[in-house]
Amino acid sequence: MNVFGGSRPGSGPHLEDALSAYLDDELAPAGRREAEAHLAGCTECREELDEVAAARKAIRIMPVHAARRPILDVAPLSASASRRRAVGALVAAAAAATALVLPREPEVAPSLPSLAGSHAARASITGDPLTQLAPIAVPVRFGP
Amino acid sequence: MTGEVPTWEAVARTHGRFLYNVAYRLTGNDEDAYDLVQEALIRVRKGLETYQPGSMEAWLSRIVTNVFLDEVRRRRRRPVEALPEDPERLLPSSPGADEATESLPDDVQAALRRLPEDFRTAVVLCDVVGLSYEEIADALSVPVGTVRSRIHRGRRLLRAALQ
Repeated sequence: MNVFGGSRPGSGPHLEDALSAYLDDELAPAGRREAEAHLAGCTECREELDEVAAARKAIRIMPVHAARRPILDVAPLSASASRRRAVGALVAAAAAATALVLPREPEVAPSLPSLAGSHAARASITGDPLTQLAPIAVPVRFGP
Repeated sequence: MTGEVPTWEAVARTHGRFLYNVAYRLTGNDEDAYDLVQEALIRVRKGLETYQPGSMEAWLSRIVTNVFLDEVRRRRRRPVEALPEDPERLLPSSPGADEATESLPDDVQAALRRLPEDFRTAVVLCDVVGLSYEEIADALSVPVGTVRSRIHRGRRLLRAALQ
């Protein structure tokens, strides 16, 4: 058995949700010192700390969950604008190499082809489904 | 154009993956996550004009969380269309799960999904998004003490579910 054995007299009530705040570094310095003093003498709180630390870690190490289909082509543009943008992507795909050199294209009022070019470039690098536009049928060129 | 406010397309392109991950952790399934992101992007589009340059991800997680909470409230008012909380599908069924030292992401996700929404939302904003308690309190319009309590209880329930 642990020599400390449970809550010592004078160490205050159990920490409860202050344990999570302690883990998240959300306690003020004085609160943190009090928590540490209590933890040193309280097996129960140390066990609870281990439990919430395990849960916290389990969530934090979960990999990012990727979308299984693109979201951009149904995002809140009108359907026709979305369609035109998708078509533009094919035209712009040829310029993807250029876009690679300029990953931060001007994002202020981007022309549709340059926007689509960025999509194509990112998709070609990352394979991120979010940036993969819908299948493209007809290569149509259009101006900005 | 101001030159400082990004277009929503740029937001979707840059932060879409982040947004979707948060939506998925909040809703627990791809279909609802997808719908959530769509609705969030509509609000992003409307809100960009008034967006104050700052933490884009904090702003986005606030939007996606609000959409999620609105939907939860809406479904609560219409109990016939309750959230698909199917315990058979959600419970990790292996009786020997407590032998594992590291929980599999699918098990964690299932346990996360089974948390009450209030707890799950606080835990996701803390441990998936990485917001401070203050930011979470702000996003949820509740006191910081409530956030602290929800995070702690959520983690305890999650841990119990994984054992």
